[in-house]
Amino acid sequence: MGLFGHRQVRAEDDNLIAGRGRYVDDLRFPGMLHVAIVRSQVARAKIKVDVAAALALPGVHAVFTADDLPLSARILPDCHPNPALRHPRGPAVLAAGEVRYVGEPIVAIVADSRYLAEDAADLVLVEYDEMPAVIDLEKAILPGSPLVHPDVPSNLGARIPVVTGNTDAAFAQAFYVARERLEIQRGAGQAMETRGVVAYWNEYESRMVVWNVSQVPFVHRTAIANALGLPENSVQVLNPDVGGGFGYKGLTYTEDLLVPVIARKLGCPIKWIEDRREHLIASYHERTQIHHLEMAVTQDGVILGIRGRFLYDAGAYTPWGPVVPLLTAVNIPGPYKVPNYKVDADIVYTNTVPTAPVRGAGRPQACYVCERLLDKVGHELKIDPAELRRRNLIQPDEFPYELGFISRDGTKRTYDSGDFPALLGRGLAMIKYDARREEQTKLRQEGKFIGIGLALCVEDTGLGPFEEVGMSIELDGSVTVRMGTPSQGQGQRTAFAQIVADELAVPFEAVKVLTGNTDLVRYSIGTFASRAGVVTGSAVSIAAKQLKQRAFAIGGTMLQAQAGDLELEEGCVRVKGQPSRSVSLKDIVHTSLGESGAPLPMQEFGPGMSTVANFCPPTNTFATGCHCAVVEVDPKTCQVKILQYVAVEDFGNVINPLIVDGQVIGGLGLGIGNTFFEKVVYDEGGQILTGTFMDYLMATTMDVPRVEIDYIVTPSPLNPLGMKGAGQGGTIPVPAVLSAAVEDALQPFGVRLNHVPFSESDLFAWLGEARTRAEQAQ
Amino acid sequence: MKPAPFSYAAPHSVEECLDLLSRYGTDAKLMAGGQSLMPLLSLRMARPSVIIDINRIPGLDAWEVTGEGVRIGARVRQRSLERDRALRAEIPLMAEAVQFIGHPATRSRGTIVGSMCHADPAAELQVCAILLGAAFRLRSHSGDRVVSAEEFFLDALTTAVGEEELVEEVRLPLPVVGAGYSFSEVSRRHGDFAMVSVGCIVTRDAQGRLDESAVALGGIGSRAQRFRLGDYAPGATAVPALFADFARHVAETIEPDADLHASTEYRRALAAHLVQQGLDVAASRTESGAQ
Ligand SMILES: Cc1cc2nc3c(=O)[nH]c(=O)nc-3n(C[C@H](O)[C@H](O)[C@H](O)COP(=O)(O)OP(=O)(O)OC[C@H]3O[C@@H](n4cnc5c(N)ncnc54)[C@H](O)[C@@H]3O)c2cc1C
Repeated sequence: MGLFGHRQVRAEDDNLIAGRGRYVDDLRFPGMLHVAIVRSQVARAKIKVDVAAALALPGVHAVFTADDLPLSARILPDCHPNPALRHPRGPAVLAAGEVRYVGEPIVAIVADSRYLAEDAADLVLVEYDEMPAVIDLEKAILPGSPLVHPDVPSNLGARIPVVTGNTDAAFAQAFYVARERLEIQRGAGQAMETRGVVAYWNEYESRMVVWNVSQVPFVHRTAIANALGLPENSVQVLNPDVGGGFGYKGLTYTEDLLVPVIARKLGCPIKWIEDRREHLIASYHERTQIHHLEMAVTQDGVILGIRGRFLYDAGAYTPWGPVVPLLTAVNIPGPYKVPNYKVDADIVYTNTVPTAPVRGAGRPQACYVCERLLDKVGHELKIDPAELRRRNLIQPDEFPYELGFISRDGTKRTYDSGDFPALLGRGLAMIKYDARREEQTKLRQEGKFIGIGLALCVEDTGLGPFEEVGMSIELDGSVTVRMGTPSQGQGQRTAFAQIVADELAVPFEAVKVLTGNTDLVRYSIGTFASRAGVVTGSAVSIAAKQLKQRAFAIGGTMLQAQAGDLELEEGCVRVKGQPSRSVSLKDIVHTSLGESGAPLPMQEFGPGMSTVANFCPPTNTFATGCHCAVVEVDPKTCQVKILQYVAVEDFGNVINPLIVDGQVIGGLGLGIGNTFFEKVVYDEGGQILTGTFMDYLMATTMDVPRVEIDYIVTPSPLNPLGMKGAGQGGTIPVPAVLSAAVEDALQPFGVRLNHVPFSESDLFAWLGEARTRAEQAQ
Repeated sequence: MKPAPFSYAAPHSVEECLDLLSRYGTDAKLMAGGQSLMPLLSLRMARPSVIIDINRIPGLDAWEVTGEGVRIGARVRQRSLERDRALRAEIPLMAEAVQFIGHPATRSRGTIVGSMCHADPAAELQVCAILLGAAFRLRSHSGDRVVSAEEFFLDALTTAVGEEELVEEVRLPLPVVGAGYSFSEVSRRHGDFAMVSVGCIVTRDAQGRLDESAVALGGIGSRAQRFRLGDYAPGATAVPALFADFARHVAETIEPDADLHASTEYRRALAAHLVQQGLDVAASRTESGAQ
């Protein structure tokens, strides 16, 4: 195939790099007003609001509190209802009488400019009658803890067990049981572009037009229509260029409903752009989980079972149900054979920002805890970490591999394809594992401490139920592709054009991919969970194949040839071996459309070259990967230097390795942040101490090393192009790999790592504790 | 993150600037590079009603060498410490420190004097000013005065600059002949404020005594602190364990604060490590080389 698999330079990049990207904040409409939101300054209180002074400020047009909203626009919809979560609580669009976390929206101000709106926000008097709050995840489930929702009997919102086999029997036979308390702290997605919404009532069509940064415009269309009491056909959601999604833009937020509500009420265009401070204190977070887990193994380190429970910090509401903890619970076994498994996911309310998927979505936690337990096993049983993993990996001839429990999508969790030993083998070869071990021993004698870490992971990608694609060949022979999965910068315009160019034998430049507009297709789910490439990409391929068949049918009639004798080359249908008997796609379109006023010439085909296709994957396809790292730790300053980082990924067949390399590199950046930097910190009273980028640290280009990337390809049998999703694999194993590497480097000091992210200062404290333990042991 | 309303004035002379300062006093804030001030305004943590922009005042953008030292005007950017070879040669300590301050973009606007006026206790330039014994020339309609670095830096984000005063320049002594300087720090990420930073000077008198050698540390409390070797070990010459002992002494003396990024104990350990290493490096840069 021609362009499939080619490192095609992204069609998007000219504009984006030259500053010609057009984002929601670039939209300007005559008479547009601006919104600022007043947010709670305390974690839990009954509130009274006085907006008189704000309303009186010149330039302020309106002030909205909960009471001013239509009843249908007061609570955000639950995007993922799950029966296990017996008391789901959707966030209030504006807090009505009570607040439950710092940052919760209370009042919306509408003014001539954002400056004035913020001036007015300062004038809103919120009287807080403070109530006891609970911030700490472990304290929240103690008896007597303040309740986040007094009408929910306990802060333990749900317990979801994931079980296979018989763990009690397995643990009874164990030669050794590794036990750990493993903690992952709260972080957040930090796209370059924050959230934003612009809405206006389109008088010409009598419908609400909403521009936002959504990963799920069709979900937003439904939510907005419901909130406004409009039929869905009277709402249009549009997404311009979007500067990164990271999962959190796949949810519905206050402003997604509020801005259209205000636009409808005031009858003028309304803009709200989230600033970075709002983003840090009020957009959904993720990752806080505390795990108490055990791994039972034989004398040889073969896993007999894993059991235990973990606490998931839901924050104050459950906008995405229990998706994240469920993903952790089903992903812990990862690439290893775990015949007996029983893990409870406990979902806990706290007075903090609600949590929802951020790139990786529960899987980095799963990978981290499993790999940390394995590293403990290896350490205690003195088995080399690479060898230990080799003994436990699912083998290539065991696919499709059933894990014995139900997946997040309700199907029997089954790995479709993969080759874990090959991934591990390639990773070890790339870091020259044996030579590195020798080097490590030698350097230790010189007082230098390098360490090697490795981890493997799986990622459920490309989930259902479907994506729809429309495709037309225009009168000039160019091809238009219409789809529902919007881009957050991933390069869909390029990748999907590559598929079309191959299938229809047209130049890459002749294909235009349109997305980010709910008028383009009838139905869509959205871009998240590494699914657009797999699901939409497959639908693109099917649509192109349909057009190709149609071209053969119509072209065959025009050329008076059998379809089987035809080929599609250089934009023309030709009779094989007789290149002069040829008709171009353009001519096929023209001919089949007929002449204005005359009857359609080829009635049997209907007019034109246009089609709609859907792809409905039977279940997830599983991407897999192995990352290895070599680090050096300076035990004096506790600084960690990444000397080498290797990522071997199996994303099945890859449309465009250049784009996928980028996904891996960017994913690694987040993973490094999750390991060393990215941490939302609350004080005991529930104030966020990391409200600017001075304190919420992300990995910069100085912290992300050059990563060596290689691919193993086991095509997925679940879609026509054999693809697997590539959006999160770069992130998932990183905390596990780097923790293992740092622990390995500090092995002579006996430091054990069971906590991410960790700073130099944390390492210093742990070194001190290890030293004390060693002294006491003597 | 939009500033509260303020009036803006851009005086064209020092006199005009001082007029504005005397008229508006506490209501006014001077703006140099804006790299610390603008974030404070945008977060509404500072709400001056008048911003006096000094970027159009002629003369303040120059530096010169006089008999007593280097005078750096209030508009000289941090970037000059990277780019201007002549300036770098006059203040080798600062020339080494500048790489740790923020990023090229912030250094292109941020001024040397502005950093010192902002008085962040982790700022590299405060450490340099304290170590080298800088002096500041302050001007106002009530009179001009010169304030030493020790008197200038009062507390975190607090200096001796009065509400009607403009810092016209900072004065730094010329390098001590034959001395070696070094600057080092540990921060969470490149370009972040240091968890601990250390500036060192190693110098010997005619008898080889190290008394005037000294270190200054930033990131350890409300302001940078200076320690003279002669106060710890008077008359000491080259003793093998001297720097290590002194480093330990310094680390035990300081009372660093804990924050989100580093504990007190970790900061102490960094201080001990950086002081010893910094003195070694500075010693290797003296005319006579390492001990
Ligand atoms: C991303 C980022 C990273 C940074 N990292 C570092 C770092 O690692 N290390 C570091 O030291 N700094 C860092 N900074 C701060 C930076 O160095 C600032 O430039 C500096 O602190 C202030 O200098 P300025 O010229 O921008 O002053 P401004 O921001 O304009 O003013 C700062 C304060 O000083 C006052 N002031 C300024 N000039 C005068 C004057 N002539 N007389 C009287 N008062 C005056 C102002 O009124 C104001 O209160 C960083 C800044 C940013 C944005």
